[in-house]
Amino acid sequence: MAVTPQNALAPGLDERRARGSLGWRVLEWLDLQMPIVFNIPTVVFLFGLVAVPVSLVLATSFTDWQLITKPDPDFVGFDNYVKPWSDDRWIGAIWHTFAYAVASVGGQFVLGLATAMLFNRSFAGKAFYRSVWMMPMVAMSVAISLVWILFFDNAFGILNHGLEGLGLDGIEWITSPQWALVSLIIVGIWHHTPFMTLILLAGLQSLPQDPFEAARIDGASRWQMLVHITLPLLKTHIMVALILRSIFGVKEFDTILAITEGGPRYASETMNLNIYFNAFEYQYMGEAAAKGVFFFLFILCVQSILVKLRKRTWSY
Amino acid sequence: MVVLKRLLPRRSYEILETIGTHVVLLAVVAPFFFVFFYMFWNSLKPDYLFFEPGTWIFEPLWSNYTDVFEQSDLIPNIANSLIISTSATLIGLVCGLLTAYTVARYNLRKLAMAILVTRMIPYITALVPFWIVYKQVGLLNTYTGIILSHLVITIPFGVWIMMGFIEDIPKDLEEAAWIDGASRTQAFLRIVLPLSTPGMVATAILCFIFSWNNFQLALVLGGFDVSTAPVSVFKYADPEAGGSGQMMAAATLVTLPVFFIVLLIQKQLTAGLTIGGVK
Repeated sequence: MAVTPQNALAPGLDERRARGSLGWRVLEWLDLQMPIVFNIPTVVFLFGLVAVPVSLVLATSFTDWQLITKPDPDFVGFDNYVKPWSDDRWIGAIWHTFAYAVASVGGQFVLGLATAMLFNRSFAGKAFYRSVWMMPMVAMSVAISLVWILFFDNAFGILNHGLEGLGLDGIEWITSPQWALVSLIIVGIWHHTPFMTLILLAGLQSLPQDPFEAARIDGASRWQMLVHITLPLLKTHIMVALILRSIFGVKEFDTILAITEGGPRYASETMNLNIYFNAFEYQYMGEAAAKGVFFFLFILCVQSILVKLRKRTWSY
Repeated sequence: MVVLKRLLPRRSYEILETIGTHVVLLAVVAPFFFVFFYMFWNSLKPDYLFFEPGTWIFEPLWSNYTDVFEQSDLIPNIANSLIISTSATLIGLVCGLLTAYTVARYNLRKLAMAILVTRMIPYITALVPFWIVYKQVGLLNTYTGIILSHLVITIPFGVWIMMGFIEDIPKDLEEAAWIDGASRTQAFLRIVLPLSTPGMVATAILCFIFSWNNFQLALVLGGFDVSTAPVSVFKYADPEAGGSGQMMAAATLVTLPVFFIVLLIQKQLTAGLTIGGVK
């Protein structure tokens, strides 16, 4: 593709320069400055809304500012970055974040791949099924959390009602430390599998048909075709879907706050919630800022590891 | 399957396969649909029936909805949400269109990457400084404050999705206009703008939905005067607060409008979400 030279005039305009009227001069100026003028709103907004806060959060993270108990901040160096590591609650939060992201994205991937392959077949009523399928993706997470709170109810929730109907013991879904995170992972899988399906389905629809024909002639089984043809060909889409979903999984906030509030006894508290409580309940601004910076770096790490993996699979 | 294919005549095998596909599809879709069905059904259920989870048939009780209207701030907050999400969407759309066009036509990859990085900053990291600044300048609990914070959602997302749509518009059309004497700006306004309308509709709706659903920003930056719908819904997260019926009525009220949008323009939405994800 030929790259348009920067700041070039449209060819037609160049010929009519002779006109020299004010209107034409304005258009000419706009033509020459287009990449700058068009980006002014975006850059101004994003600079104000991202660059300024990021520098401010860095500055805050080196102070011992607490809104009520220590309103006049002092510079404390890297204290806020060191202190949390002796706090079991913060270590637990990192672990929960990691476990939540890995388990929910893993579940979403398996279900998403299966459903994408199902939706890739041709059948009547596709639009209907797809609309229903897309519903969780656009539903307000706080609203669906309310439904799951009722589902998870120990005595009267339909999940335990169903288990008891099968003759099993009910589970303390969100009130016991060992199940709380699992319950949230179930909600996460339910909520975000459709997105995974959507991306993988787009990938499946873009695959060439020839390799499958060849494999069929060679007598490959369906499983062999999935493992040796579909998955390798689909790698780009798989990695994109995994990258996007794991970043969102690490950042999950709404359902966790609404369903368990990080409890019981911090058993399902993730980094996002921990920082939220630190900043806006206990009002330890300095510590929350440092944790926030660490959280951002954590996400960058996850992202760059996954991008590296994606590059490696490409050269394969 | 293979055995059946050999045993049965072709026609009956095809019918069987169709039925089988639909059974599997229904089984897959059912748990996803059930949550929403439960939401709506239970919003009509009297509270005492919550203690009998096996009861599905009862006299529908619409008073749960009127109770929500009267007892919670959901209705004013839905109005607030409409104002906030619409403003944030419009600004995000304009910024997104202009930036996406220049990124696509001038190949400004660095700018695109910078915008992608802003999408990765977790809201909570940005919320600490936002809150500090807002407290200083008095933007906490105001429309301006929440709209500004929602731009963090809509602008990067708008740019990213519009880029996919604009790259699909053939460049030849603009070049033809240039030859006919149009300036770049005129070609943009008369050719690209009309052609990107479907993409803009999809982008706008997606931006709106993401802004409408966002809970964390308004939870921290909103307050007693100005807050958004998810914050009102969140107040029902404790079943003691208003009973299961009101809980589900509140959830239904904020979920249904979005579903109508999805049903109306399902195809464009799928395109938008896929482009935003893959490209």
